[in-house]
Parts: sequence; C-alpha cells; structure tokens
Amino acid sequence: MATVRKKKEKKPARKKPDKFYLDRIVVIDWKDERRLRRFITDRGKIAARRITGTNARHQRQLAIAIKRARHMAMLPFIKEHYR
Amino acid sequence: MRKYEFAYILDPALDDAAVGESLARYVKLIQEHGGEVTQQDIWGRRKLAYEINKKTDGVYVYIRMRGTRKVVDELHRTLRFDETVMRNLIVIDEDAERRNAESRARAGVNVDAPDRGDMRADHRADMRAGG
Repeated sequence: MATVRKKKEKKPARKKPDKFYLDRIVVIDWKDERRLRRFITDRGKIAARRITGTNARHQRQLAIAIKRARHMAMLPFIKEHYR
Repeated sequence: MRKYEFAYILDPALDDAAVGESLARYVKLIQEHGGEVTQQDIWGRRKLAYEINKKTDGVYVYIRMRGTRKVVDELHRTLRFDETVMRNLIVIDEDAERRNAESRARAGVNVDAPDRGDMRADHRADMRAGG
C-alpha cells in the first residue's frame, strides 16, 4: 500500500541581499582580509554566489580581490590537513 | 601617471633596520624614475596563510605611489633580483578605503564591517525551507 506523501512544497528562494551593497562597499579591497574571509569556504575556496548572495558584479570583483590576497599569503589557496 | 599600490613581503629573518633600509631603497628607486610616493607603511611581521620558502612568517611593506609604466617595469626588474623579497604585488590603486568611507558616509552607514553571521548556515536553512 503506497502511502501518499505530501509533495514537498517549493517556495521560491528568498533573495539574499548582497553583502557589499549592505555595507556600501564600492571597491572590494584585497587588503580587507577580515571581510574577504567571510567569502571563502572552510576549505579556502571562493564561496559561490548562490551561497553568499553576492551580486554578479561584486562576485567578479571579489574573485580578483581574493586571488590578490592569496598571492600575498593573506588567505590560503587550500587548507591542507582539513579536519 | 597612474596611482599604484605596491606591497611586498620580506624575509622574516631581517631585523627592523634592514626592513627600513629596504623600504627606503624602493622609495628612492620610485623617485629616481619619476614616481612620487604618497604613502609608505611597514605593516610588520605577520603569519603567512601558507608557507613560502619554508617560512611561516613575513614582514609586510606597503607603498602607495604615482608613476608611469616605467616605474612599474623598473620595480619588477629590481624585485626579481631582490632575494629578501618573497612576494610582491603591484596593482592600480583604486583608493578603496577612501571611496568606501565616502560611500558609507553618503548612505549614513557608519559600521565598518557588521557581523553578518554565518552565510553558509543561512544558506542551509534556506535550502531546508525549500528554497
């Protein structure tokens, strides 16, 4: 006997606000390590827009800033010995 | 003439005097090639996010300048042979701090970096909610 399972309702995703817009950041600074750190995963990867809500323009700027910060050893490329 | 940011990481084995000398040398080099140094800072010793040449620390030096391509080319050339410099970065200066401060002032947001919590946890909660 098949139990009729209620179909999971799909609510439209709540649009996340762009964090750079909220803080009125116009230039994403490679020196702003504290802020950049919030946009990388615990493995050190650049977090997806889907996750952080960053808009397209800021995501492009962010990626460049993170790469500069990595070059200057302020952020990791990868975190080894993870866990 | 363009504005540039120039930062480099020095070998942590150098003492404060040697760090100051290194900074002075680069400032002089910039000036000799028609550049103008607008800011010079020694950020100091800090931990590197990963090892470079088996070293876990580095001394960060930061310079803001105005100059032409010639200055930048000359810096790159010199940096290549400077064995005390472990990393360097020369990029167009977009005046990030000033422009962000102005932007915040215009909007009346005066918190520098409010804690926005764990964005990934927020995302997971959204996914559970069926988004």
